[in-house]
Amino acid sequence: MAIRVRLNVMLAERNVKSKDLAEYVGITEANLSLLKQGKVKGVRFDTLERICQFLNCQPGDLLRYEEDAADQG
Amino acid sequence: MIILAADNNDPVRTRRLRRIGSLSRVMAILCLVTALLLVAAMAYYWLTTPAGALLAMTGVTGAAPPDIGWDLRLGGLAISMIPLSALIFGLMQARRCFTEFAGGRIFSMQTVGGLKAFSIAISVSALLKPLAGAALSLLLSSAVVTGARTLALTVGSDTLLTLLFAGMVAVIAWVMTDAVALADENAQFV
Repeated sequence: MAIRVRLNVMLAERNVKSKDLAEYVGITEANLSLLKQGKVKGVRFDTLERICQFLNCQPGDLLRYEEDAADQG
Repeated sequence: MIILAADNNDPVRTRRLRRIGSLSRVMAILCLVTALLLVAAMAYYWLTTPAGALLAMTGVTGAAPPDIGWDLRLGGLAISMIPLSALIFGLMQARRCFTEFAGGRIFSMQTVGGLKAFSIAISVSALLKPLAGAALSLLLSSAVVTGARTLALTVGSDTLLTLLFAGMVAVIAWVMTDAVALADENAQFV
């Protein structure tokens, strides 16, 4: 997948627990875990907004585009 | 399978889901009661209706006997139960759908399957009804004093309307298949 989710990195940098973030955002820990692994089809804007509020960051800090080897070929 | 839970942040949706649940519970009960009443009414009809009325209903002409025997009555009941059985199977499938809806399981393959089975069952029932009517006319004409056999085949507007309704439900079931796929995809959004 070309879009990488950097939520794990952001959580570690801010020393925040997944449980606290999930509770603040209003999603289950299971869904947050799937999001961290990039195993979701999409992120709703209101979820993104709550994550950015809690982590005091920008959406671009959470998501990164990386070209796949297949795309380069 | 997607379970639609009431969202406290959306009162309109919460109320709508509650209404769907309440109405579906009532409909599930009505399907069961209707199925039981249909069987009881059919049995009562064949066991108590006078011979003349039975013959007139099946389109048999000629001098009606004072009464017809239990063998003919039970035979008539058995033939009449064939299209009715398909209809009752359809009602049970509709009941399964409503039970799923009442439990908040609206977008599931079980409800799609139930709707498809319902549409097939009522189509089969509608198509069997004229055939059963023809078989009944042959059976009951044996009771007529003159001895002439009658074969009456009747296709009424109710048969056509039932087939039209079944087609509409079948299309809705197909649309629901797409809705289930969309709901599955939506469930993967966080």
